[in-house]
Amino acid sequence: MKIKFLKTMFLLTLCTSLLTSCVGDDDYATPTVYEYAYTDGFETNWADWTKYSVTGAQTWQLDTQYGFNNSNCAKMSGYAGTNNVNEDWLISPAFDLSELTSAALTFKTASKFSGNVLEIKISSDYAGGNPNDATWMDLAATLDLDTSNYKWTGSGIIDISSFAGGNVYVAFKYTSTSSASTTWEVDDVKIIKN
Amino acid sequence: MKKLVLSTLLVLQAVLVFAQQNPALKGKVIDAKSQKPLQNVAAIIQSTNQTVVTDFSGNFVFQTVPPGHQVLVIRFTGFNQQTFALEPSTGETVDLGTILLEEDITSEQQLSLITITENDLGDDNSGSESTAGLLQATRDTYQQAAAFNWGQARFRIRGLDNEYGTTMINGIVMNKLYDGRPQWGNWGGLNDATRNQEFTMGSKPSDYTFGGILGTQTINTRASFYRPGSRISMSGTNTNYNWRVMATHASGMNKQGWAFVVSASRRWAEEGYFDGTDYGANSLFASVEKKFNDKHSLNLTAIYAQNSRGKNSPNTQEVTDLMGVKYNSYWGWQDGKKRNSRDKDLEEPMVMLSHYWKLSEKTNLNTNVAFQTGTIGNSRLDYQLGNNPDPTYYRNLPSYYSNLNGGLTQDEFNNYASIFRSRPQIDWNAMYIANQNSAFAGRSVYALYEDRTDDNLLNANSIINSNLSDNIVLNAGVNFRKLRSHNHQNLLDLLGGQYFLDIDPFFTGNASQSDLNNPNRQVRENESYGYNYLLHATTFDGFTQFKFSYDKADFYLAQSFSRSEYQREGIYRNGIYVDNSYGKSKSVTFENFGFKGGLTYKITGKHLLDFNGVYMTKAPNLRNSFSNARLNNTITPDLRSETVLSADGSYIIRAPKFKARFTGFFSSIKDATEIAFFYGEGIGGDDGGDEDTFVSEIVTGVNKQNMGVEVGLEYQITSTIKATAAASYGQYIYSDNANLKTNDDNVAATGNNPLTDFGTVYLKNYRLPGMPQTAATFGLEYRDPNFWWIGANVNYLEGTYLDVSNILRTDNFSLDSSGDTYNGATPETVKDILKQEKFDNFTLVNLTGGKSWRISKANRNTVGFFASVNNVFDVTYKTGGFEQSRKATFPDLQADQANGTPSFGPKYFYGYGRTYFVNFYINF
Repeated sequence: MKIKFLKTMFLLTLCTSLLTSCVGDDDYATPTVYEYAYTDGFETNWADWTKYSVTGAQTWQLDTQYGFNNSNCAKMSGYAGTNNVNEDWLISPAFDLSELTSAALTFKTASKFSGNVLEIKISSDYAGGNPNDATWMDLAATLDLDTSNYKWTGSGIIDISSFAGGNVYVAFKYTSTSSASTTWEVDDVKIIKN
Repeated sequence: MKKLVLSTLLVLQAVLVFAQQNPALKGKVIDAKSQKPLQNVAAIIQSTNQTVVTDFSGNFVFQTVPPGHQVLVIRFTGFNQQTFALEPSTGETVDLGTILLEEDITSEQQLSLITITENDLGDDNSGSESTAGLLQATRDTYQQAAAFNWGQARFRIRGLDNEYGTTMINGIVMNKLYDGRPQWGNWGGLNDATRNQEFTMGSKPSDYTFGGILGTQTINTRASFYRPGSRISMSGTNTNYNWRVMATHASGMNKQGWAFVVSASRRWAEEGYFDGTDYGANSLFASVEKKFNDKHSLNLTAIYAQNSRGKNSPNTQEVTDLMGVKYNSYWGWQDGKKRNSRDKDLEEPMVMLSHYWKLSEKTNLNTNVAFQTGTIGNSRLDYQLGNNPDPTYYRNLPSYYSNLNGGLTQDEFNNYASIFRSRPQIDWNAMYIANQNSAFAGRSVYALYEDRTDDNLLNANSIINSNLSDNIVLNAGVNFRKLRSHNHQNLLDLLGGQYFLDIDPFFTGNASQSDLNNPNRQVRENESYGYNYLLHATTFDGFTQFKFSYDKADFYLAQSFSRSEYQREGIYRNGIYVDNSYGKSKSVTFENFGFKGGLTYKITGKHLLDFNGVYMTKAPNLRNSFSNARLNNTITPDLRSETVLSADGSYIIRAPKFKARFTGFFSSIKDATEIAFFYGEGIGGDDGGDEDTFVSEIVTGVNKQNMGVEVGLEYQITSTIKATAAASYGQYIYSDNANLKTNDDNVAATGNNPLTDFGTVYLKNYRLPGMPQTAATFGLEYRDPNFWWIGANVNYLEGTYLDVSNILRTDNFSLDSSGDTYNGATPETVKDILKQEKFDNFTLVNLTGGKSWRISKANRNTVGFFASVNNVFDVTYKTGGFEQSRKATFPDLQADQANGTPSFGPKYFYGYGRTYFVNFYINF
């Protein structure tokens, strides 16, 4: 009786421990791969972006040559023979994050010539028109601060999970003065959903 | 209860002491065939390990025997073991009368085994080495299958590397401090002389050491333990060698107390199974024992085994498709002979002095001192600013043009294939010519060198074995080792030139100098260059073990402590690591401990339950303690001791006709460190430049989990026919992710920190590579009473996996320099391209047989033969292989694979096809 019990217990423990820790052939881990809710390299939907000029004659332009990997990118400079005072916003179309619980933003920048640094902002209540009428939060990103040469630089992974659950707008706010105007280029704006 | 046991013990002891006038147990052992008494046969009371040996006339006597039913084992090398169940009653002598021992005709099988174990691929970074070598003398059905039937397919017991086992000769540990593995070649070819051995599986207790979690193999070369007589054998095979001759003589103990054993063998092949693998080995063995009196004996053992063999290359699928499985890129014609550029030369003789001291009837003390010195060399071609002499260099292959042009037509492919086939081997002649036409007169462009290790190892230990009472046995031991290991690059052959310049031409200025203390040195043959350093190691360990045996249950407890201290001492001041290469490094010290215990519960005499468990920490081995030992004193970053946990449980049936064992096992190894060295083009770089930089890949925090079940069944159908079945079903995985850093000399040469942190390496749930994780065998054996036997077995092996590249499983693979996922990399595509290759399963059929004859009735002289055919149906199968790390990013790897034949695809090792082994022997 006792023996039978021992045997049964022994076999049972063995079986359960085997069954619970079996690893399938496809259960292996993989390096980080980001999945994107949105990616925009300005290849097709330049028109969907809002280019709002608060001050100055120069505006955000589509560049079809000098983007990352020689593709399209967005480009802004306050220089036109001379430095000009500008405030120009490049505002994304509404990104619908209502299905997401976490989200992160990445993009690339390249810059040349000294001047003001590009500001990165995010809003959930932008309703078109003058962006200064909406609430914007500043985002900290890694930018190409080497003004001697264009050098495409990844922004890093910017957590915007607090904006998940609704629509968001990402904005790149360009400013220049009459004494200095950097040329800023932006490419590959992506919302990471995992 | 405890009190009762104790008092019973005391009473019994008194009774036994009183009863000592009459011996408790006696018997006489004779050879069944010759009817002559057998001397030095071991008779062992299994529960207490109480051992006596037979005298000149074959008699053995136990003065006392523990109470209760006992199992007596009569054991003698080369004979079938006999077991007796006893019910001794106090005061009466149990006389077993005459015991006939039959020669074990299947023991010849052991001879064929060494052909597997010596061909260790471990030194080629494949990590593929079977555990068959541990199991030469095993009796367990499962273990025999693992050794003889599955060993050829690189099966490893419980999926564990040999470094988790302990191999000892006379109590001296043979596992190298460098990599933890025994160097089988150190006693290769001395099968007869090392036949007296035991194996304890898993963490079950050994009398000589705490051991690891794989098992403990103990070889005993005490001269008086050998069966007196002589033996000559001759063998032919087509594995790694073709011919072997071996002769052994054992004198037995004479009246003056002297006994000696001598043995010698030679093995050779102009070409083994794979193309261009030559083989030459000479081995000598001597053991002398002097018995001074009943208490003291001294034994001196000397082993000299020299071995030189040409290695065979692992090949990509493309190369194998072009050239066949036996193709080996390491050799080339020179003066009408095949010359291999990658030889392994091994010559590490050892002497051991053993003192056996019988302190009392119940206590033995065995003290050993051993010294081993010698060299291991692995040769390789070196070249400075010449073309890569490797015939399979990727630019020589059709895939290079295919990947360059985005595919090839059949005609184009045929053209490039025929170009490759026209020069598939190393061109020694071209290298001589290049050296003659060197831009600097006399300076060799090409040279042959060897990575040399010259070790001096002093080893001393003391092992005590005492029967504290009839139920309690104490084993304890201390062990001291001191190693001085000189590692250097030794120039073997200037290939017609006058000198080789000791610089690294890929670097400039100081960085190109191997030794700033002797810059621009001209190197001649048999001189060191490149790198040159010493490794010092001092280790001390000790263990105690208590074994308790009672009627219903046996159990044991053991604990160990060890201390290891390692230090590097650079002889060169390397130009890249000016301040960190010459002189002594800091020393690293590890203190480790272990606990283990186990229980055998005897349900009845025929049914047993057995449980073992161990927890221990294990110092990293010397090899993994210095991350770039060739060039600098850096201690491996994040170096830690491993934590090892293991448990197993078995149900054992020992019926007269039916033997069975069912075992479940689990082991976990945490925080292991693995360092791999390779020539790379700068990790992460994607152009197809030359292999110009030496990279060490440091993976720390490696966690492994091995679990599974083992079954061994043996059924004696009739007195002559026996059926055996065994199976192992395991799951051996990396149980978590690890961390990866690289040390790149290229980076260091630019003045930057050579260590690059790649962060997490995503290894979780990948399989441990290089061994079948599932194996099964079924065999039938017929033993004729007229001393011949035949056997056949069929084996199924499944689940051998490719060794995955670590660097491909870091974020460096999927994320570009901006931290963004590469174009086209989705969870699906990345998962797909990083899937671990599982090799095809395969079935091997083996046949064995033998016969022996008695020459005359007057003596026990016999002649006989043993023959086996392995892999009868000549099945081609892969035993291991590894991914290359050259294409280390998603787009690069994808591009390399785009046209179906990657330039840097995995390289594979193959098992032998149909092989045979025939052995003729004479015993006299």
